[in-house]
Amino acid sequence: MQTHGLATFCEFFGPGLLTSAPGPPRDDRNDPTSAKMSTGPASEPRLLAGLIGALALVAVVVVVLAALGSGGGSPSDAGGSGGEPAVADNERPPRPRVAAGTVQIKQAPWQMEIFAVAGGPRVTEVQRRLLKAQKPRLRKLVRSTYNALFLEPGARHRAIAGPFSPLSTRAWLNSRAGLGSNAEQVRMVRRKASIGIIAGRADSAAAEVVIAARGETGPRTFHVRHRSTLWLERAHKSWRVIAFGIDQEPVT
Amino acid sequence: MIKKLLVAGTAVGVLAALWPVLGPLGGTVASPIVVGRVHRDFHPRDGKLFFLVIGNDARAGNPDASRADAIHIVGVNTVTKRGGILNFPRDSWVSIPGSGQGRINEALYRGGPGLLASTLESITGIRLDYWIMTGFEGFQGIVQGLDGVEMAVQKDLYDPTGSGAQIDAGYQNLGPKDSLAYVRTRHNFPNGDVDRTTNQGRFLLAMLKKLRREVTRSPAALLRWITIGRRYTRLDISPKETFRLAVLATQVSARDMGNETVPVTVGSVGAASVVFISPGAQSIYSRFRSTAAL
Repeated sequence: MQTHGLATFCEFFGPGLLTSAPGPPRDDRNDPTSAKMSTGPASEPRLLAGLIGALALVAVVVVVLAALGSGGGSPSDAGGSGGEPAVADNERPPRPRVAAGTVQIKQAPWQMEIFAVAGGPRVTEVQRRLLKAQKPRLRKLVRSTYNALFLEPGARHRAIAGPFSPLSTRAWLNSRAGLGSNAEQVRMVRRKASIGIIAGRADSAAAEVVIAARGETGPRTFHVRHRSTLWLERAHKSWRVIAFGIDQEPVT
Repeated sequence: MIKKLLVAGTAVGVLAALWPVLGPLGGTVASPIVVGRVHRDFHPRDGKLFFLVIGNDARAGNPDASRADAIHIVGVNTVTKRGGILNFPRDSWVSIPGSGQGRINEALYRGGPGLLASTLESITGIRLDYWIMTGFEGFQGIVQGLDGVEMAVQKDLYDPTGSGAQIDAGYQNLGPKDSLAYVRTRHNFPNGDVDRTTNQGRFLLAMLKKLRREVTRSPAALLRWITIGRRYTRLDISPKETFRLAVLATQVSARDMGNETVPVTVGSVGAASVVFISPGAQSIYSRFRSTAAL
């Protein structure tokens, strides 16, 4: 069984950041107005560009809406209706490794809370729908990742290859978080996750996961306490871990 | 039906037309915090990042003021998770590219953050990645949103006619007014502006400590910091970069961040009282450049 303390990783230089800045750098030497830092009115060319863009956008919207008819579809990311989706088969935790003839080990239920962190006093309806669409995705990510890490440690690479970026995957595997592949009779006695999502674009999240597990390696029993933080980014419908912190230790 | 389409289309059009005016965040603070990249192309070198942190004297009623009161280079080594804050007194007499000699804080007035960054790059040999600049309101707004910053104040500070400081020594939770007074106070210190500059570095470290403490209790605290920051910030970088920078900050301990002020000697140029950066600063620059830590 792996025992270790604290490990952190942040994929700052991952894909998507090794690119040019959004706009040209400011060459302020000859521009006396560059010293102004207040948010003043835009210059005329910017306003004109905005107006032209607005007219073009209006035209496109009118044509598209007319083509669709009265029933507008929700953006795909803000979809989802009704209550929480039922647990699908692929969300059920993988079976723990047990000796033949023994009873399947009952795992503690997941205690999961997912909440929005908002910058203002209220969240708009569009933001609310966007947030709602993320909940099942994040729930699934956390459940499947940690269930596999602790209940199928031999397959940890496969478990994290999806939600973790390549750099994060390598770093996580190097940290040896979770259990060794020789762990058996594993019972997760506590499984708790607290996930916050920034309201607005709903594309940044932080998940704090606490696991307490016990099991056997050969003739010995072990107890381990694991606490980790996952920092997640969303691209379209997929969430990815771009940084994490882990604190895992045996409990004597 | 057509009426509904026209209304919807008009609303969208108005928003689109106003978007360039509002800017990325639509902030209305007179002196927001502004974050941008120094260079268009971003080339990380061995996991090292360098930030130019500028405090200018812009404020409501004087939004165009743009002399740099606070000038710091913050380095972070993303591999070792160590870093450093290198402080520059604002009256440092330096060569400003394209403008001759002058006080370092004039570079901001003459050519904005870009010229100040070029000045520091030519002095230190360090290629800067980001610049972060704040005026009075942005600074106070952030501190207000975070419910103050706890730090150890070395001595009683009383400067009613200068910075307005009236702060007792000891461990204090500084609110927005006291925080601004603390980072502006120099008359209470034997080395004046040099000590003030060092204290500004201390304040940055105190904010880092607060961030780490809160995130350790709950990682979602970082998300709160980000949403508060957005209220007072105008970002010239993407939200993804902002998020990653914020996450990186949580992984660096204040204990692993050095805080040094470049060594200087006091002098004058004509009638102007200035400081000259000592030759000994070269070894600091070299160390900082190679490790991003102090």
